[in-house]
Amino acid sequence: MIRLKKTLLQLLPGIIGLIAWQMYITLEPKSEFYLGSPIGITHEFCSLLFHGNLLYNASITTFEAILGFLSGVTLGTILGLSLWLSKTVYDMTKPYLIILGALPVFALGPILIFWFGTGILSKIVIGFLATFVIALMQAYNGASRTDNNLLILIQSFGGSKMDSFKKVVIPSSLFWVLAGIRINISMALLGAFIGEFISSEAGLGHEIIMAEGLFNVNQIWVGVIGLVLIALLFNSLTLLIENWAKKWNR
Amino acid sequence: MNDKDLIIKDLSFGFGVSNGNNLVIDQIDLSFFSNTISVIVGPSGCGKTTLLNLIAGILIPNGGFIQYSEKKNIKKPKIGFVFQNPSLIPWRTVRENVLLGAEISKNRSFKIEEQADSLLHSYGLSDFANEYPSTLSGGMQQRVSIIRAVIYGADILLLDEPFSNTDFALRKELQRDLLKTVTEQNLIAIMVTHDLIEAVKIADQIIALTNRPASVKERMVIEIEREHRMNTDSIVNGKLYKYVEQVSNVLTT
Repeated sequence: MIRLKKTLLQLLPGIIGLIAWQMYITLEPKSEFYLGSPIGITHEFCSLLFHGNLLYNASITTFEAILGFLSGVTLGTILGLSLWLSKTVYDMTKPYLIILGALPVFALGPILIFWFGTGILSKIVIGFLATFVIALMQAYNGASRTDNNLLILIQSFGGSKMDSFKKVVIPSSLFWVLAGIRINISMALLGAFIGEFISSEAGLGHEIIMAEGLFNVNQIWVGVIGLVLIALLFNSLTLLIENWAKKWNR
Repeated sequence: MNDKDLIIKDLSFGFGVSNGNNLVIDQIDLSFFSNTISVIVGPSGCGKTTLLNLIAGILIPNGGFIQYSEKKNIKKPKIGFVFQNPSLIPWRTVRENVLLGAEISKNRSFKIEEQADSLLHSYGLSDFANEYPSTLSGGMQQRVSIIRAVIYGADILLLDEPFSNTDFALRKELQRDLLKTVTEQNLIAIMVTHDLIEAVKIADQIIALTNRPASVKERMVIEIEREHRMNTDSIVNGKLYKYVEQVSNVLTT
């Protein structure tokens, strides 16, 4: 009962906003050209969903984001954790990692599209680059913050560096890795989307660009809503993983 | 029963270059025996923890040597570390934490597991064996970390201010547990503490160190029977108090 009340309260501002928006459009029909309208968006959404390419475009963007995310996060996490094993390699690569971290990867978008074409590959590469550095830094930070007593303990039990790595370092970096994953989900989606924006053949970014060319504001909104839905879906997946990991968190 | 001993001779250690500037440990000579608790006291930052790490073999001395022998045979001792914070692995259950040392030294067997279960039982931790450490109180966690050292088969127990985060009553219980464990397992126990009352209650010998670089300022043998120390008997308390005064004089002069 309390939960229902809370949900209703949370919905209230959104509903009021939508009604106000729709009322304004009804009073000033000309401004729908610039603003779009809730009814118009719903209409556009249904027609794109059932008669258009909405599902196809959404799945293309999702696919690009997932592949960019998986490749960047997997490789970044593995390398970031491994850097813990060798201080020398870490010191050697650190300046490059800092440069890579400071670089707005999306600025490389045009070059990457020039190299990898206007298809999905270039978007995956942008997603990869955007997520890789974050995953790597998170994993390395997590690994280097391992409780020193636990490392001494493993050593005092006669364990090797590899024992420490497997039994203590990797599991204790999990929270850092998960925090990185949360950031990277939006980064991968942004990577795919910006790639599509620059030049593409399909995807939600493509849909939005097309709609803009046609001055169809309602259709732009549909694209934005699609992106939000994908992001929410991804987010709920990370929440699931985090809840599982929380079991033994202090 | 004193069949194990640890001898430290001319031990010196410095961080970085051995130019004498960063000297932490300066020519320490000490001996420790099994079924004996030695307590190390000294000013903060004087190098007590460094000494423990040297004994554990985690740091390598710049001079002198540390030699462990069992029935006159020189060998590498098994070290059980107990830290100020219990340092249990949060993603392993209590039982899996206790078995960690045996697992890493590839000694895990049915017999060891049985021993672990019976020790957990005798410390009243059976009900928590399959729980994660976060569900235990601080004192119980510290108990688990002592059991972990015993199950590993430690010859030498190194305790770095192990009870400083616990309240008065619990501390007393843990001290009792420690005395019992050292007696039963015939261990060499070396403990660092800042609490002088704890020191004289628990120690068979007290070693006072100087300021950094640490050397031995004084070594005192506590001549009160182990069974009597935990009593609140007024005569024993009087004797203990005299020792506390003595140690505190050594440290402040």
